[in-house]
Amino acid sequence: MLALRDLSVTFRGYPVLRNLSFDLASGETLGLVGESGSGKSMTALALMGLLPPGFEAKGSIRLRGTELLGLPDKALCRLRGRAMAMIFQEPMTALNPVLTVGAQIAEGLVLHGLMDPRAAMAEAIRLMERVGLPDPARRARSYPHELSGGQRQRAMIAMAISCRPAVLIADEPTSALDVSLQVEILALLREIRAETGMAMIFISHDLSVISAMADRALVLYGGLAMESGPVRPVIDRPAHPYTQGLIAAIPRGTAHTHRLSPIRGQVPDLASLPPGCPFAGRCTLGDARCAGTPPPLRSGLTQIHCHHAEPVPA
Amino acid sequence: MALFLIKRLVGLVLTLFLAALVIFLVLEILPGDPAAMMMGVSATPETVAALQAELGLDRPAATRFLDWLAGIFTGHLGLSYTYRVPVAGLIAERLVVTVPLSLMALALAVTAGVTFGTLAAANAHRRADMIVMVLTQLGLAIPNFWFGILLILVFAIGWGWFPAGGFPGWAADPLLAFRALLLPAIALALPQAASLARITRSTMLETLSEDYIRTARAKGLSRGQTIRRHALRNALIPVLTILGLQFSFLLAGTIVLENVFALPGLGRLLIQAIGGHDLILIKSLVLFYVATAILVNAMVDLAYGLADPRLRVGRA
Amino acid sequence: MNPAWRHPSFRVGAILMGLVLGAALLSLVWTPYDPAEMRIMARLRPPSAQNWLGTDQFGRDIASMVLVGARNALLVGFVAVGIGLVFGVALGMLAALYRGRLIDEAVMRALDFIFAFPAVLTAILILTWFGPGLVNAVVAIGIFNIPVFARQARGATLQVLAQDYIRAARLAGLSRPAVMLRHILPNITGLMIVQGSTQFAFAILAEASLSYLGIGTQPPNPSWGRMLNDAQTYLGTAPHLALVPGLAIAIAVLAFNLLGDGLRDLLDPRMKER
Repeated sequence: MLALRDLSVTFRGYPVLRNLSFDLASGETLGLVGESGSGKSMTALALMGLLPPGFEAKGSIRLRGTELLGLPDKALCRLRGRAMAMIFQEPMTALNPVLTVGAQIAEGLVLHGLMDPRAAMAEAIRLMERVGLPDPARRARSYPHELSGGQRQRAMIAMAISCRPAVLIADEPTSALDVSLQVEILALLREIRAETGMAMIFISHDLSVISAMADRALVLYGGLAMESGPVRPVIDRPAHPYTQGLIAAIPRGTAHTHRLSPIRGQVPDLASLPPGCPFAGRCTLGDARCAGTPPPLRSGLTQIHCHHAEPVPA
Repeated sequence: MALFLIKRLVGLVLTLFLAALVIFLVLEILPGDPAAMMMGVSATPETVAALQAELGLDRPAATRFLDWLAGIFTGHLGLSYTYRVPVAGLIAERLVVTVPLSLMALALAVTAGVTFGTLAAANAHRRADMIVMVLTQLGLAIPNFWFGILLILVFAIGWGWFPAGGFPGWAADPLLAFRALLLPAIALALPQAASLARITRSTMLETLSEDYIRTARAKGLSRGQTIRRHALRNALIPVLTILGLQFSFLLAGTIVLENVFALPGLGRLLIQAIGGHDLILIKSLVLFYVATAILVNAMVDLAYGLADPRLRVGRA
Repeated sequence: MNPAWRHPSFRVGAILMGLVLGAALLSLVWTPYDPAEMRIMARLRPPSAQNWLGTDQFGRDIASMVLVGARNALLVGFVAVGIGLVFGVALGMLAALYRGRLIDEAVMRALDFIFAFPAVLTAILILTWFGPGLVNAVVAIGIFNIPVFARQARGATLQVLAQDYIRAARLAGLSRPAVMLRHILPNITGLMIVQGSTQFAFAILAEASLSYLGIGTQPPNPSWGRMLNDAQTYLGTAPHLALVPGLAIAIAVLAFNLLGDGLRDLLDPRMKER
């Protein structure tokens, strides 16, 4: 249903994302794993056609056969929210402070011509109930600042699923929440996915969250797909040194909970990336070839980009 | 909420009282003998004494001040020295020029300022933005009274579309009266529009970088829809805070523009009163201007609280 | 090349200010005619070889008057900004130093009160008291400037006071006045210069308005605002009289506004308008 082929994103000439390819079938969930600045949020924004100014995307993104790259904004507007929707990381700032929650949820339904404003508001209240917001009729008239962080993220989910999108992109939807809330929100997303049969791209730096949510996983580092494949082998038997390192780091609790705004603070890192494997400098197997030449794709149980490591045989 | 309002109200009344006190001190106490000042150097002691008696200046200052304050509420503000008619009546008949003039100018300034500011922000760093920014610099630099003179030169003397000055009165010909106020209102609005455009541009740019703008775009709203439905209100809330100050400048501007266009408003009355050393009239006129500026600022403060749901006091 | 020069606002502002300053300085040593000399036979002349910008209703040379007017405008700006700067910065720093105490509250409330009076009205009050005239007009504009500078100075001082090195200096035994002079004043100078530039432009505009109304600069001293008032009487017969003085005001105001904008960007790159 969704097919990415050699998607590359550059910011003022520096690569942010390099030749990313993957497919996503209906009802399937792909987990995008990576640290801050690995390019995972840029992947999401490129899919939505919402890359900030200065970013450029090349390659191909096909959604149900329609090429999205190069599509005029007008056509993209008809797809955004309707065919593909997105949940953002920061529930505190992603909602408009001067509009009621109900109005913000109903807005997409009216915009895409699915309902008249009255019906849309009723639907918004129904959706709010579905995502577990207490007293939805009253909450619909509340402003975002009157809701807790967890409630806001529920409202955000209601907004994203309102037009029953074919693909839902969830960009670190639980990273800003308490652990107990995280579990609830993840459960909610799983329920909704089962009900609607929508495909999902779930972005997280947290491998345990990915393993709970995704059918397949794709590990990004420095804009390059390090390893991808079915989620169990990627996590249980990783072949790429970077994935191995990432998994080894989990028990020590050095999860990278730092939020990075998409533009700032990335440029120097991107500028200093080697033309070859982005992980070259930190890799235990790295040699001169790694930094100079882009690593080849090797397939086995998982697919890896690496000069040295061998994939686990299928 | 009630307590908050009461506190504000007390502060407002106190400010107004202080303003009246300062005006009274400056105009009636500090000059020493207002009567002598009003009559000028040619006056004999006898005529000065007669005027003193007429104006009640022989009474204690505190009594005079309290009388004046009471007069503000009863409308007994004394007789104008130069016009020989009650001050309250003079002010009332001039209001019909000054109030519509300032409201027209305010409407023009806000409309033009917000439109051009938003246009500039939506096209940040592109040609439209540059043009708007250059125009606003010119708008801030061109003195409003000179702009008024230029408008007269082109539209009244040159093309004869508008009267060069004067005011026919609303009763005689409302349309003509409106036309008489249009050029001065445009001249008055120019600097305010320029400054509002600059402020709108910068708050709009800030708003457009917010996360919820991206959320709105992700919902499928076009850039234009996003600006209109999501950005504009958020961007205008900070603009609102300076609108009170803008109004103060605009009010002061009416004094100048009424004199450019020979409009029989409060500003022209004030300058004529200054020319005639009519302290009785000046006192009440200045208080009127200052009180209006203070009241409008207070109202803007209140409106600010209403416009931003986060600041609405007393809501859960 | 100097980086400041590359900033477009700063560059245009500097050029225009050079123009105004040049005119003012030139008028000290030379003007085509005595700007006060009246020649009734040569009244209301259009621009010509003898009178480059024509003559007014008394036969005075417009070009000479505009040149001397530049001197007048700059003088107004300097004194009005000077008054605002000296009293405003002192009061603002005082308020910041005693932040939250009675003196802070009293000073800032008093200044808010002054600020509530529109500038032209403050001027009118003072002018009614002292009588019309340039000095009184300038003092009035200066008084209006005090709260503007005081607010800025207070805010900036509070920001500097919150820095660690100030606490370190205090711990090292530096007295409050010493901290003010050695650390805070240099730190807020830039901001005050930026504000000063903007207020300079404002002062020129305000004096022009007052003089236009006949309560600012008094004849025979030439003032651009006053010239426009005279010009308006003869708008039908000698429209050229209304053009040059207004243009002169606009150029002077533009110069200081642009300089202020440029300096703000140059002093604090983060403030740069995106």
